[in-house]
Amino acid sequence: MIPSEQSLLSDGQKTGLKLIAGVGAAALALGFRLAPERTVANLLVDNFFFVGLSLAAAVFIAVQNLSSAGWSVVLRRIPEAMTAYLPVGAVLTAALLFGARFIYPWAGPGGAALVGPKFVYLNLWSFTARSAVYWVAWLVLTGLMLAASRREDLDGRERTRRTKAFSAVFLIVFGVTFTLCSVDWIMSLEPNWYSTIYPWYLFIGAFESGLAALAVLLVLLRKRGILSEVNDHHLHDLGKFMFAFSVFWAYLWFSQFLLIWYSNMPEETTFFVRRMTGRGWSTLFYGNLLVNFAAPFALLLQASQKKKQNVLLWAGVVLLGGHWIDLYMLVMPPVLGAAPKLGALEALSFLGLAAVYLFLFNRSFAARKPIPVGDPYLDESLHFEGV
Amino acid sequence: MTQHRLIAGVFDSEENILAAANAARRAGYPVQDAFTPYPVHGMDHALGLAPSPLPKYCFRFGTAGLLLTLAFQYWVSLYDWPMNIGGKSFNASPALIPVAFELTVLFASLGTVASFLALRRMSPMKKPALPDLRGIDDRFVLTMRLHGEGAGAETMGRFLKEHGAVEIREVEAQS
Repeated sequence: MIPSEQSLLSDGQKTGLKLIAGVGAAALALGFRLAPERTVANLLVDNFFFVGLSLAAAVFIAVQNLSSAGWSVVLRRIPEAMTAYLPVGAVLTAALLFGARFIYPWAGPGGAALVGPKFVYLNLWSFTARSAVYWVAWLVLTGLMLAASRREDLDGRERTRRTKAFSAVFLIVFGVTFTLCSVDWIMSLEPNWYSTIYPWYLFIGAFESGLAALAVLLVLLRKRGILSEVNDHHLHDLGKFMFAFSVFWAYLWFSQFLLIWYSNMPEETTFFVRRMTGRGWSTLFYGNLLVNFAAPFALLLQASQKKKQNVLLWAGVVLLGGHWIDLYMLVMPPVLGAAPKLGALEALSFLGLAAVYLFLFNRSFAARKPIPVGDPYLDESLHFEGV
Repeated sequence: MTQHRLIAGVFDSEENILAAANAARRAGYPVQDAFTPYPVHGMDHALGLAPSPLPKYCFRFGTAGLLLTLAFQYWVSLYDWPMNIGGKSFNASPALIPVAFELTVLFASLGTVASFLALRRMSPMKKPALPDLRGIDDRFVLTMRLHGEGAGAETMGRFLKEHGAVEIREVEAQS
């Protein structure tokens, strides 16, 4: 690895992040002793949040590679570094397996009777085996895809065809594994409820928050004077991406809601009844639509707004917060029951993992040149102008 | 209908016409328009065009579509012909959203096309105002207005040649 001064964080900030990560780990350990259900559920929400960001970044790279997109080459090192969290995500998923009996009804006592014939699929052994397959697939394929792109910097030999091939394989494998993992890790919290649009909904949420994180990190880097090559047109395109996927998220949210509301069948409506009753849950339920759809819609509708880096920064922060609330609303209601609990545990657990994520991002980004100098499309990207 | 006399520079590449248009704007030549076989990125800026008014029309039409559709559906289901569907309340808002969404998109898109046609005075009767037919085939054409005063045909021609035009023509155009 080549050390570089192109670091987002100062040494003091890095120490601060380590400290926050330590406090977060301590909070999770203490929480596990006092309230294991709530703690394991928090770990699931936060780990899925950051794994989602990492995978979304990998999907973004793969889509850009496959479509021979020129514009995004200059900022590709950001999504590449955003995948640095993946190994930590794998470890925390393993930790989750040990806490599975606290949150998954099928893994607790009497679980087999509760889910009936689904027990063939929903048992700890096959759950563990599937999770292992997802992680091996993700780590190997993203590793291959990124290694090809990073080696271009070192020897100047272009590997466009190679990255394209890996991107294609990754996208296909990702489509299958992410569908299964969202069913396994989150939908099975309510094992007798199901929705076929659910994995789509989770994927779009993750992709949207990945774009938001990409925008936030890009703007922060630009404010440090790194990646000054990124111009208004790049920001505009990123803004369009965020806007479009925020609308698409709302579209999927509503698709799921409308069908269940319309047919009004008890085994389906439990999902929404649980989330719409009680002041605490219903506030979060409607607030979710506000932060994930209404706020970004208003912020990013105008073309001129999408070109302002501070607007992108704040829209990104709003969307990241929104996605956390979205995941919280998916995971917590069946675990906690009557009322949501938002306290120090939630804050410290999220901040702890956020610190780990940011630290790993920065280490990976600073280890390489900030723009992919060996990529044959770089010149096109540097001269990119929208219509 | 007024007659214009134009100087048309024919270019054989996107890069050359873009550079020429930028240089002409900076040098203050009366650039009239550019005719290219496909949209050239950055040409709006190079020609010094004001931002398109179409997004505003798109937003207005979209909003109108949303409001009209919602109003119509509420009027039908609450006043004109209330029906009991699956025991739902007459005021069943979620059921109205898909139609409202589709009509928002339809109004916005058709309205934008109609605005474009109206603003550009496009109709089947309109005569094409192309200074050179190759501008819709495999060449790029940049035109400048010839006025009584200002730079003359020769200066303009020389300027375009210097910036990579492969051919200079003087044409009559109507607008």
